Amino acid sequence: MKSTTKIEDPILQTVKKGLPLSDELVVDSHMHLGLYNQYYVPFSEHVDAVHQLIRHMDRLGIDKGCIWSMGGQTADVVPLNDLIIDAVEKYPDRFIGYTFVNLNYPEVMVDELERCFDLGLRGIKLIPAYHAYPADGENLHIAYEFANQHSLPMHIHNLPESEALDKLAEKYDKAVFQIGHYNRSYNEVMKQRQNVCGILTEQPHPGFIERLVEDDVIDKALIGSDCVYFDAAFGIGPIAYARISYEDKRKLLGLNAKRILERCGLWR
Amino acid sequence: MSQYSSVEELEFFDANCMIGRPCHPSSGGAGILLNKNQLLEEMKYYGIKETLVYHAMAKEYDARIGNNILLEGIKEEDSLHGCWAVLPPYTDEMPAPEQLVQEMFQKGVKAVRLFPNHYENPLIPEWSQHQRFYLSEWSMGTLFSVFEEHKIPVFLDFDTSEPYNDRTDWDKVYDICKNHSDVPIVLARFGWRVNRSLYALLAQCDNFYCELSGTWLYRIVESIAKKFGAERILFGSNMPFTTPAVNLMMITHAEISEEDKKLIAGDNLRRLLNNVKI
Repeated sequence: MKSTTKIEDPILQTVKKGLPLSDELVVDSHMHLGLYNQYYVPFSEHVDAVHQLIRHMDRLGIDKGCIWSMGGQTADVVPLNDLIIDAVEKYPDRFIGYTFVNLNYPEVMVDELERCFDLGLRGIKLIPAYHAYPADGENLHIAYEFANQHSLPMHIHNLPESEALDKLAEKYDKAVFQIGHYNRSYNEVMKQRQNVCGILTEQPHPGFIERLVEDDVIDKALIGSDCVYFDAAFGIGPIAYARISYEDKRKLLGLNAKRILERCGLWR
Repeated sequence: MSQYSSVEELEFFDANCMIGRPCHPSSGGAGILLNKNQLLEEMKYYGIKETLVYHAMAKEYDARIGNNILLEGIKEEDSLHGCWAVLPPYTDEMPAPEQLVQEMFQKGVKAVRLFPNHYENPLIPEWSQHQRFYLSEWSMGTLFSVFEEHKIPVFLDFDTSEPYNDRTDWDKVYDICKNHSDVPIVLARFGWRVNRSLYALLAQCDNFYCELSGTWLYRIVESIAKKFGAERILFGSNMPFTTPAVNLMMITHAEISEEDKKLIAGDNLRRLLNNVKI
């Protein structure tokens, strides 16, 4: 646990002062909106939830967020996608909205993907584990095809193992595969495939961020707080305080995400 | 008024930190604070002024031996405060309750920590859980009565190492709070998906406090401070298993007053320790 960076790092300085990261580009690639059946989500009553979230983002200095519904992993995705459509309508410069699909309903998936795409959503959220659906199941390909056709990013909570992901990334090369909860087993495929990246939504264990540099995946990892599941500080905090260079922090906080979104034609 | 406040100004006092070599290092594999100097280096890096610390040996081997190793390890360092592990008073493992408390005071210790659970393999809790002792009145009531007399803060640690899997015995926490209403009961590192139970305890037990090192829920600092008062929350890092970064930022950037942030950052713990009747 030796210190390897200087305290003059402006990101660390700003966060230690309790200030928002207004001078940095911060793009959070894993955000939610709405309520959850498993616990109480404060400041998330539907009528005011999006404004409260924007307020929180401003307080920390988050410029943009990739966002999908909180409840889609346990409840009917269709009405909850409307929450996201509404958020994107209200704050088009702050959110990239993702369509949540339930893999157990293939007959609904295409219609819902098209409906949400027409209404402004530009990504897809898949969570096979929570929908009790196999990570290599056939219905996933409906979403992969759609993402490939429209060059969309897909945030996938649990993916097949690295070799299988490599094949998927090759086949659907216009889509972007975002590993929802990055771990080191995906390092090689992240390095090999331009359309694969890892989202840093993990417990803040010491050394986790520093190992991204050691493993040479610092260009392929994106901040993802899981907010409003977690506080947005869950994403920024470990990066801001990490013992890595200022330039590497800038990549993780926003520059990598910008490059991914540009690839998909979604940066503005 | 809600303000921006720096780590420096808030004078953080970490309520949850361990030194020593744990049997199970963090799943990140890099989190061990073997000694005082390593801890002090971390505190300096993060800007933490003081720390309440227990020892791995007191949790994982023997309370008395581990407590003594702790005091030897942190001696002559004013920013480090010892927290003793304790056991039920009916074996020869600990002195009688009043004698224990007097020994604590002689050695400058003003807080205790209970570890009722043990997991031989934290990754497979289903078969590896052991109840080291029960928190029920028949087991711990005598000890709690002495702590109550001296207003000694009691940290309850149910070994929730992975916060998605909360291990808190919420009924027991409620019973202790109600049976011993003058003991400050601090629940250390509980899980994520439990705030319905957490808020129920905060609403009904004035002597109940929460240490948030395992709970990174959306704006939970603001939510608890607004509903129940900032006096009920303690900053904790859970070093060396997790970095303090998230919990520091959840407080420095919370949308609450600077006064409330100072309470949560450290003054609540200072108050609890100052209130101990020696």
